Amino acid sequence: MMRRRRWTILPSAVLTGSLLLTACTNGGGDGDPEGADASAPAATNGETASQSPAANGEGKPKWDFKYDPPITITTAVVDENRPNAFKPGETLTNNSHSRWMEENLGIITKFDWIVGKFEDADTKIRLALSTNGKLPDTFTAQGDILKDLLKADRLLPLNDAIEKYAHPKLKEAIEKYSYTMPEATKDGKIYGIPRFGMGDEGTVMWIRKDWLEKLSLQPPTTIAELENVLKAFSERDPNGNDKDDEVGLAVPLKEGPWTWMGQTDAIAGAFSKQLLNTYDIKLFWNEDENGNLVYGAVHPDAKKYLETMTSWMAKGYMDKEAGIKDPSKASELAVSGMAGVMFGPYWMGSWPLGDTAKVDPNAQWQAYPLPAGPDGLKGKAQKPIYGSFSVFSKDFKNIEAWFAYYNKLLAKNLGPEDPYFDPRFEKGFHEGYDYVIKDGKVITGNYEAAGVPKEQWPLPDGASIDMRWMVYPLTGTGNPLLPYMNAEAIKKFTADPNAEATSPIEQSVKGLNAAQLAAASVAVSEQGLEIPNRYTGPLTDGMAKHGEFLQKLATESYLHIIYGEKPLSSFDEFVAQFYKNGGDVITKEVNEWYKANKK
Amino acid sequence: MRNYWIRTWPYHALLLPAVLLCLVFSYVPMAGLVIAFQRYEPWMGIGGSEWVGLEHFRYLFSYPDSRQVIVNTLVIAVSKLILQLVVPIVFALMLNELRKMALKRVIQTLVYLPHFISWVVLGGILIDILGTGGIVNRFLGLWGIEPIFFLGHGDWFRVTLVASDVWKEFGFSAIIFLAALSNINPALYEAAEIDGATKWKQMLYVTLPSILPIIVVVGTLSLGRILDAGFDQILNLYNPLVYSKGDIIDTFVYRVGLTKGEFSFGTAVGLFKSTVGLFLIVLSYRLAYRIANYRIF
Repeated sequence: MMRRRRWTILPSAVLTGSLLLTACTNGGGDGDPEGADASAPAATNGETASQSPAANGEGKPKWDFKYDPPITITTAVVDENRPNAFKPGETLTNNSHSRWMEENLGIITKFDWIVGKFEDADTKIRLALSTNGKLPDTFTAQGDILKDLLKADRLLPLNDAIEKYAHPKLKEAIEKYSYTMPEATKDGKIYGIPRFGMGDEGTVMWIRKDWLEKLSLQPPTTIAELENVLKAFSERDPNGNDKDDEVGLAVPLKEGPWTWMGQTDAIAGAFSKQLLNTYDIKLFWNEDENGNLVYGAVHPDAKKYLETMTSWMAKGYMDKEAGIKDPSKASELAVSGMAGVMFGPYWMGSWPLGDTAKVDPNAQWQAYPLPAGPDGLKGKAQKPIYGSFSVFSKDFKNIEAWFAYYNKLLAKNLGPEDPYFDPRFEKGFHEGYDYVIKDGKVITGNYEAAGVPKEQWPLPDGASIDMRWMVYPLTGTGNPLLPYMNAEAIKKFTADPNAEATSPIEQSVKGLNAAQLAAASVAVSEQGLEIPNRYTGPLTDGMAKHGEFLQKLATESYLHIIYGEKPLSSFDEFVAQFYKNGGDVITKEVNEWYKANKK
Repeated sequence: MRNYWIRTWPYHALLLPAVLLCLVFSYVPMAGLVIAFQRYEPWMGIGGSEWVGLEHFRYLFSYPDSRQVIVNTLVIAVSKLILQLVVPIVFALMLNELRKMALKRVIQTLVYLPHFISWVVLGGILIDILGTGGIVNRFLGLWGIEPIFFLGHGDWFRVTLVASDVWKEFGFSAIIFLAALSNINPALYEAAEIDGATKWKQMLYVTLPSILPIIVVVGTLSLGRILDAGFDQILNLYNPLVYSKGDIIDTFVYRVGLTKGEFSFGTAVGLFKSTVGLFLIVLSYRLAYRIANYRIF
């Protein structure tokens, strides 16, 4: 479960866009292994009031603050894999941005721990909990760890701080998406700032446009038309190798109908508002006709989904091995020119689908609007817009400094009109790091192609620096984002791909390839079809006790039906089993929560 | 006695680090097993967590699936155990008959290479070569055999598990038998030859009896792992289609316990597995001593 949640980090990672991609391909230019500086207790507690930004003087703009003497904020990072994070000679603890922060903002960042894996970070926090050891001033937590931290009462309540110091847009998002908050709320107090994603990963339908043209087919707009396309793709040899080796749809079913790529939520959504997932008991809970919550995978409407999938499997329109494949493995089929349709997020236009051109230079994947069901229904799942939370140690004394820095970073995404926008960051963070200037123009990537002389490249091999490590350690090595904040940028660059990019968000959208941008535009235009998961509470006792069994039961039953090993009528037996083995308890718990928290 | 110590203290000193390491890393942590009987919460510590007695064990055995996963574990583990003993021995015996040293070396290296590939990598490779359009099924197709869905069909899945595990590990397991074979006194073979024993008879009456102690030791030790059916292999290969034949205790614990940080439950299952393993080792040790008069350790 944790693994999968962490995929929600992907959108921001992908949106660091060209940065990350060049990082992956070029590989080199890594910084020194830094000495993990763990010996830094916050030295400057206690003298906060006199130096808070608000006390800086009424006339000063909101972005302008400096702590004198400097204060120290401790944090912890997961240093998982970061090619191209630093210039040679610079490190996580000593780089141009850390020096800049100390000189200009009076904030010193120290690291209580730097670990290599998310699991290790969890262990560190658990260790600190069990020994009553020191926690970093700010760090990232989610799921069970967050639950443990709340139970152990080691976190700082944030209600006042949010009220006083938070950027208005953040406050607005916390209110508007209040359903994200229960996980970090206890007794009415808020203990975490959600690390929002942009919620832009909603499903689109990717189809090989060149295959459609080759077989003179129209892009499908309904499930029935889609079925025709799948039939043609699997029977009429679109890859032209005279072998019957194609299937229509590449789909991973190892984790059931819902996963992070190749998912079939749009097929379920064409038949019913009941979205389904079998692999996680917290997803999807939908309202039924009476306003009660019901687990989508056991709602009778799921039969329509199963019927369609079963017939496609039987007719060979779908990958016969879907049941043993995870999303990456399933995508290999599409990439190798053996499948012509795959559902998934907009970014697939680069990885994995972009690689199809290596097999077939004429390959052209294009994203299309979702197909409608027999009653004209369309729908898709709303991707979670948050994953983890920034949380703070109860002993942290400088929460307003953290917010001041957060606001500055957020404002950089929002653009120069924002009152928190720091004009020193107008072109970028630091010249020679995330941008260089050539002939008066700001260049933020692909330096070689832009004709920047070699000695001006930020890294010796011409790659871009992955700024997450220098700039964002205090916000969990992630750019502070708000839900849907790139929607406008996507519209702007769809209208004019050559428009000027004026904010990092716009830059990252501009960095998308043509297929991705077109797909993002389709996804944005269909945002209205997104159906959210109605249960956003914590893992209930019943879920902890029965969840694993029910997940296994559901996924197994679905696959047996889709593979035709059991008849569709066995669905009713499965539903009975589901309720008998704890499904009833969980349904009750979920509905109690819903009645208490529904607005 | 005094003399004895003066004479032997350097040897004891040499042993000391090993004893200390064993104490610190193997015996002291056993105290942590008490959390199997608690509802352990890290910040409360062992002292503060609530005692729940046998609740975790009860949960393990009252789980709707527990029979299934225990049976799966035993079937898969026992098949692996037997084949993992027989195949390396046969292989070692065959290799031992090779007279060309160079060829012997090459073969030996080639067969133990797969041991060093991780199951994560191998899992992906197996999905490809065992796929319905994969190399194995194409080969079978030449003989007119319908494609077999090796990884998606319960019984075939077990066969695949055992076969791929044996393929991966037999070369490495054979090393110990090869070492034992090279220790056999050549005079025994010469004597047998003079008595007119054929190659086959030599193997039956000289080679096998000579390596029997090693076989018993290896067999006994592997009994201790009777409830380990190969976690990383199965985690990388299994899927919902074969849950009913391929889900084992470890994958079950992984899904229930570890991904959710249920330390106590994980510990309880570990304790259960170790207890069964210990019992079997002691039993086989006694049996070997009583029946075959072997002192294993």
